[in-house]
Amino acid sequence: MKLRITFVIIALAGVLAAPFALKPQESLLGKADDLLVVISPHNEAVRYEFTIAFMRHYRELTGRSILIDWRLPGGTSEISRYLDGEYLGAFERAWTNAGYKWSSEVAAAFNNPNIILPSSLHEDTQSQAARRFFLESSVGIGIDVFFGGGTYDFKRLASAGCLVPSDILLNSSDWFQEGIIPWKVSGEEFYDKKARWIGACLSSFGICYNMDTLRRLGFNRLPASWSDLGDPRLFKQVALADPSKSGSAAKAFEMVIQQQMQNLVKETGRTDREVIAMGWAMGLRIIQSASANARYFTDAASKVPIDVSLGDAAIGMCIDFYGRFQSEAVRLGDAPSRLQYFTPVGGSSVGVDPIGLLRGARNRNAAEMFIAFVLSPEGQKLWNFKVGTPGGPQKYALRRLPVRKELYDPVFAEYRSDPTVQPYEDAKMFHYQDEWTSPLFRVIAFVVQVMCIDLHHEQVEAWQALVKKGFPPEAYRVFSNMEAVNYQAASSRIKNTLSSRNRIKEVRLAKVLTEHFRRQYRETVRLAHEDK
Amino acid sequence: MSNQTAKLVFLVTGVFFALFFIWPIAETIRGAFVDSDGYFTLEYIVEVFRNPIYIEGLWNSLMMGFWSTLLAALIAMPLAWISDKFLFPGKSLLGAMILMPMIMPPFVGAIGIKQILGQEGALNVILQFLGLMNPDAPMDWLGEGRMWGIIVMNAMHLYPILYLNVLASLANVDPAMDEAAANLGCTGFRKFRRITLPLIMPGVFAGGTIVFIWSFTELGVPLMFDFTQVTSVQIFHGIKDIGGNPFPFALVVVLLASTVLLYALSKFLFGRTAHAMLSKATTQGGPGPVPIALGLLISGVFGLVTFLAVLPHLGVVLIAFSGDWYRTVFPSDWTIVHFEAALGHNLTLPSIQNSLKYACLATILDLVLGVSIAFVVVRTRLAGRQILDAISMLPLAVPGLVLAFGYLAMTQEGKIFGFLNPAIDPLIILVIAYSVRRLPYVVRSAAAGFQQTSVTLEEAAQNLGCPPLRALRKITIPLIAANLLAGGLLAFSFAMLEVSDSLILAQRQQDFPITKAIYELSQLLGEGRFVASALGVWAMAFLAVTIIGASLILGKKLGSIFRV
Repeated sequence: MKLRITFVIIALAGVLAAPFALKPQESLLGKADDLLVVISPHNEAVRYEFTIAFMRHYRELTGRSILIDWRLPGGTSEISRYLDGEYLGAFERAWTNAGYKWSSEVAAAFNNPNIILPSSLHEDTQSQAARRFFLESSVGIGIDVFFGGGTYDFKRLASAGCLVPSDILLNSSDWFQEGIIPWKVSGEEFYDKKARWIGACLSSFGICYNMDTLRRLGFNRLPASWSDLGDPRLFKQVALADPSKSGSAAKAFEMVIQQQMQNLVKETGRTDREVIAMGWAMGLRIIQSASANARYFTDAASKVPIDVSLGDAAIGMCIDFYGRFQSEAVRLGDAPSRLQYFTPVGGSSVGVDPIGLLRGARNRNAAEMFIAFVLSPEGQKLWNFKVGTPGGPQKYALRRLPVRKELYDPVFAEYRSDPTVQPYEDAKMFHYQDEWTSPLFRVIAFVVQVMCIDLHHEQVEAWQALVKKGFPPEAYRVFSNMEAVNYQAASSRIKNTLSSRNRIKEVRLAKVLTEHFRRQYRETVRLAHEDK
Repeated sequence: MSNQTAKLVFLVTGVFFALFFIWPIAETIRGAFVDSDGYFTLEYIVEVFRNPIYIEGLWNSLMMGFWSTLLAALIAMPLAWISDKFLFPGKSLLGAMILMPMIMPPFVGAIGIKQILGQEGALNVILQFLGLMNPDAPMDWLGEGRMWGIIVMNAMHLYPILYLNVLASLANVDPAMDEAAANLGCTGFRKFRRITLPLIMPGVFAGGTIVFIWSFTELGVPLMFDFTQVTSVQIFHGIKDIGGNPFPFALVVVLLASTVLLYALSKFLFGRTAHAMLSKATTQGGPGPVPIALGLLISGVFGLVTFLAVLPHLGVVLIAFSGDWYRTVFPSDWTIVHFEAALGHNLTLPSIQNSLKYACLATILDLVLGVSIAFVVVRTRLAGRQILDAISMLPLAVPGLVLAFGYLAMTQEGKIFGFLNPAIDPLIILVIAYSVRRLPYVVRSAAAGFQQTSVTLEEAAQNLGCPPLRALRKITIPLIAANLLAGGLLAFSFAMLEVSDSLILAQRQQDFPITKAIYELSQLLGEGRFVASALGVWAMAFLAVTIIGASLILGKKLGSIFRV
């Protein structure tokens, strides 16, 4: 028995000893003098490099240690909803603790940017009082900084009052000029003039594909545009992310629509609402056909390039650095990687992934220092420098593009992972028209949800029937009819419902539209079978 | 134990259950029926039933639960019957290996199965090599049948629970019944259907219920398969904005009500006719020898089932050691670098320490509560002790997801239990969550121990002047140590592999348990699935050493540890 016990203890000790023996020299999760709580959709590689670098930077400046407590509820859209929920709870506590009565009116008003405040608080209605109370408060949720994601969610949270101005514009005003961090590039804002959010790195959107799989499917010509995702040969081979979970997926869909609008404007020379509305419908049709070819809608945008690289899907939409990162990861030796990424020509703007200070940040000083570090030349080098280069990352080449222009100077080319990528040049190919689609950012995700994701099975059946019968015109017309979600409906009824913050109304509208498209898809199948 | 002490134990355990079992469920139910103005409403629940998306989710969950249970039963019952009836080569080893699927959460296995069943995966390569598949049109096993992938994963993970229950029930069947049936001309499958099956129904029902509830509310596997149209995933996504969205509450209530209804319905249909045997076996039963060819065939069947069940694990092990694995049966090159990356990752060591801490504390809490409850139930005549017994088994009937959601809801800032908010420190609430879910195993094993140990031993000690509590500590506890070890080990292993509570309640990186660390690592671009697999392999090795080690020390077969 003693022998058995000794054997078991040795075996157990051996298994337990391995992680202790291999533990990293620098603990990123140990106790520290100070704390910074950051909520982020950034992946582990980005978190790791910024944690290591900032911990050192912080110690150099203050002589103290710091722990970055990363909160990771999911993709950008999910974080955005999480912050809404947390601020609602925090505000309710502050409001009721102050002796006021809680109501659904107060709940809907406190973060509503459309509520105009009178100059005198004595004239406030209950909604205005709630809004004023929130804006003048330091209601916090125990999180200091929101780091990463698309500008849409940052703009929305800033106008809601959840993001507050940081001191970065005052303290480092010389960074915010055309040659370093410009305010606007090809229509995309790179920072908020009140410093409630600042772009930290650049991103654009494109397509990743598996060369082996495309070859197998008989593609002699490589895909070049968004509309190629609707090629019937790609049936059940397209990987897409759910735009209601992933901000980057939502932005990619917005780009598809914007490009159609821009093409029409170029063709017709007109910029009136009719042309924009036609572009909207054409963009939605491309999304619809890509969705009909989709193998799935995943909840994490990073799964798209992974699955394409494994051959589980032939092609997918993804954010630029996901495509580049995974392409490099599966490359064997000097041969070209089986996974390739490209941005369709004129198919995507270059936008920013911002960073911003949250209302009620308990660790305000550390938060300000972190924001300043991320935007400083030292922090910016982490994004695209190779591992081990001067100022570069320690473990992971992040393959992201810094927002600071000077880092694209040829002197840094030898250090950069992607020296040929020049986003400020690429940005000139596409002028983002904020007013055309940006107000409908959430609407796009909602329409994709009701038209594609929730009805994927029915949509795929209808698509199959169309492909089988060679796209009979009447059947295709019914399939691709966008009347229920046209530009007018999107800008009024759908947008208003989504902005009302009434979940019951939202769910009911979703049901109505889902049923509408369900009927449309069933009708498509019927007509296709009749060769109409 | 004096009557006073027994009453105190009753009270303390009762309060614990009220606070950490009833309260979280009540908190969730409240969220589903109270609107933002504080008024009662049925609107949210009604909307769930009006919405085809939620109905579809519920239907898919139901299908997931039903087919997973049926498949698990189809695997487990023949195996248990064969094991009960025959002696065959390698029986003890194969019987022990049947438990192997349980040493890893199925969502980790999903990484392995995706590699094997992918379009460019190992299975398709084999089929193409054998000329059974056109290389230009490989089958997309997972894309075409994602739901079936989930069902197979669940069944392969959970059939051991049914196997053990059925085996235990078969062992209790009086062979005289079989013989009497045979004498009266009832043989073969008819005998099994008319005689054996009704007699083992309580065991089938008990195991089947656990398998059904588990797979009906499974979260990790559908998440890994990108299958979002199931209620568990809809709730998981809804939790992100728990503060401003009533639908996750309503969905949890619907899920809980469905579980209770289905349980009641199946109890009505299958569980009400328990045929108690009046006497112990009058003839010598037990497995008999079979001809060597048949024995080898049986061993082969056992081996094949175990092989299929551990295929996801094998996939995970191979991925953990592979440099690249694409369009080949086995990885094209091998490396151990992923273990270095996994075990050296900054999330890993803290997550292992956290898991050990949470699981150990939860197990201790389970042992204290379990022994106390079992003692009151078995050794006292206190009124209401049967209620305590029934309540302590209830966590088996409530989906883990429901409880996890309830804990999150009841610890939101501003609530009475706001001080246990997992965003501030999840230790207490996670330990409680882990222990409540596993308490039934410890209560059952401790109660079995008390029942099998004569009270006269304790009474003798008390006659010799030993105080009651000391007699319990010095006499009875050592005698039931094996039972406690069995129950405790089961509680510990399942706590180490916990998924629902871990994914929902551990919000800060420094608090992640190992399952959440594996989930996080699996999302990494590039090396993610390799590193997650390597950490999964470490977890499997740890649990295997723990379980096999305990069985070696106990001197019993591995399987008997789990037969609680």
